[in-house]
Formats: sequence, C-alpha cells, structure tokens
Amino acid sequence: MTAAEARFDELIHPATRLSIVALLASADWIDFAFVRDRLGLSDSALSKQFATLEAAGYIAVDRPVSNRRRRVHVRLTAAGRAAFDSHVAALRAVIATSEG
Amino acid sequence: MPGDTDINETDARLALDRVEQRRREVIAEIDMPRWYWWGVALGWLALGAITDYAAAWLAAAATLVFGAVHSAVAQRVLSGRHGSRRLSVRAEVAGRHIPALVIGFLLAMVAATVVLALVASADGARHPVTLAGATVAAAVLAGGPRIMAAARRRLADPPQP
Repeated sequence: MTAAEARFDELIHPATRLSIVALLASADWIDFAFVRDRLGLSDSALSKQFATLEAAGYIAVDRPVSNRRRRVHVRLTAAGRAAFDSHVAALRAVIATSEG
Repeated sequence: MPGDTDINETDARLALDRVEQRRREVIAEIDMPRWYWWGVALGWLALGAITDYAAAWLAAAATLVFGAVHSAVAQRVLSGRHGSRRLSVRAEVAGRHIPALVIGFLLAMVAATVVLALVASADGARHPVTLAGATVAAAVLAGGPRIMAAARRRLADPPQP
C-alpha cells in the first residue's frame, strides 16, 4: 500500500463531516442510524451532511431491503477514500512540519 | 497541500484524535453474533450426550454434521466483521487474526473436552463425555465473548514495535 499524497480537503475537514468520513473509512458500509446515533445528530441534519458528501462524489447511499424493512446504508466511494487518506496525510504533515 | 491550509498543529492533532476516536468506534462493533456462541455450546453439549447415550456410529455422524454446519456458518461470521447489523467492518481494520484466534480457542476446547472426559471416566463418572461437554459448553459461552473483547482491545491499541 502506497502512502497517500498530502492534500488538505476543505469539504471533509469540518468536525461533523470529518467524523462521518472517519467512521465510513473503517467500514465497508454503515447504517444511517448508527452514524446518527454516534454523532448525536437529527435525521435531517445528518441527511444534509450526507447530501453534501454525496454531491462531491465522496459517499454513496444504498437502500437495501432486509426483513421487509428498508434500510439506508452509506459507504465511502473510492474518491472519498482517496480524499480522506490525503486529508489525514495533510494533517500529519502539519504536525510533522511544526515538530520538525 | 498542508502549506495551503491555515490550520495549526493543535487543530491538526484535534482532527486526528477525532479520526482515531471514530476508528475505535467501528472496531468496538467487531464481534461474533451471540447466536454463534450459543450454537457452538449447545452443539457441544449435544455431542457429549450423544457420545454417552447413543451408538458410536450416531456419535460419529453427529460430529460430522456439527463440523459441516460449523464450517458453513464460520465462513460468514469468523472474521468478526459482521457481528453488528449496523455496519460491516472493513477487512483491513478487522485484521486477519480473529479467525485464527477463534479456531485456536475451539481447538483448545476440544482438547479440554477430551482431557475432562478421560479424567471423569477414570474417576468413575457414569456419563463422562456429557459432563465434559457441559463444562466446555459453559466455557465456550463465557470465554468466546471474552476472546473477542481481547481481540478488539488489541486492534484498538496495537502493541508498539
């Protein structure tokens, strides 16, 4: 695995979106309700954040039906994962620069 | 580029801490389904009883069936990535050690069953394998979740080289 190029991402960096993307980065997919409960957001507030990330092509929203219940699964796209990895690399670079 | 941002070291550290905290929240969901441990424990108990009370061929057949069913189920759950219905943990986050850990635990339980049954038999127990199976079934129920908790702790805080 090659190290990601450091690139600060203004879209990801705000605390709520960074938390969302960081959760998604460790998972194949996450249920909408899990993200909502972890972040303590309302459905509408979370939907707004998802819409922003989806418009940027960073996440994809799937709606599988299991046990007759409609669920909402959210996952990071390849572009979203690359952006997140680059953003984390940029954060580490900021720290390395100030330490160096 | 990092130089193009106005964030300072403190902000960067806070952001990375937030990222790490979220990673740990996903790791906390790594688990085996509760029904898996109950299934293994009940299967163990049943195999012990069949060995004591039924014909040898039936015990052998039951063992084969148990092994086949476990093998089919284990393919889906042994990774620990699907312990929760709320998410699927990424393979590289869950790591590759959990299946080996669980299989190692079950093999140790097999050895414990054999030893306990031999000891009980030598001590004159009327149903030594049932006794050993029940003891090990309880150990599976108690120990399985603890094994997974230890695996989660190790993933969250890997030992430093």
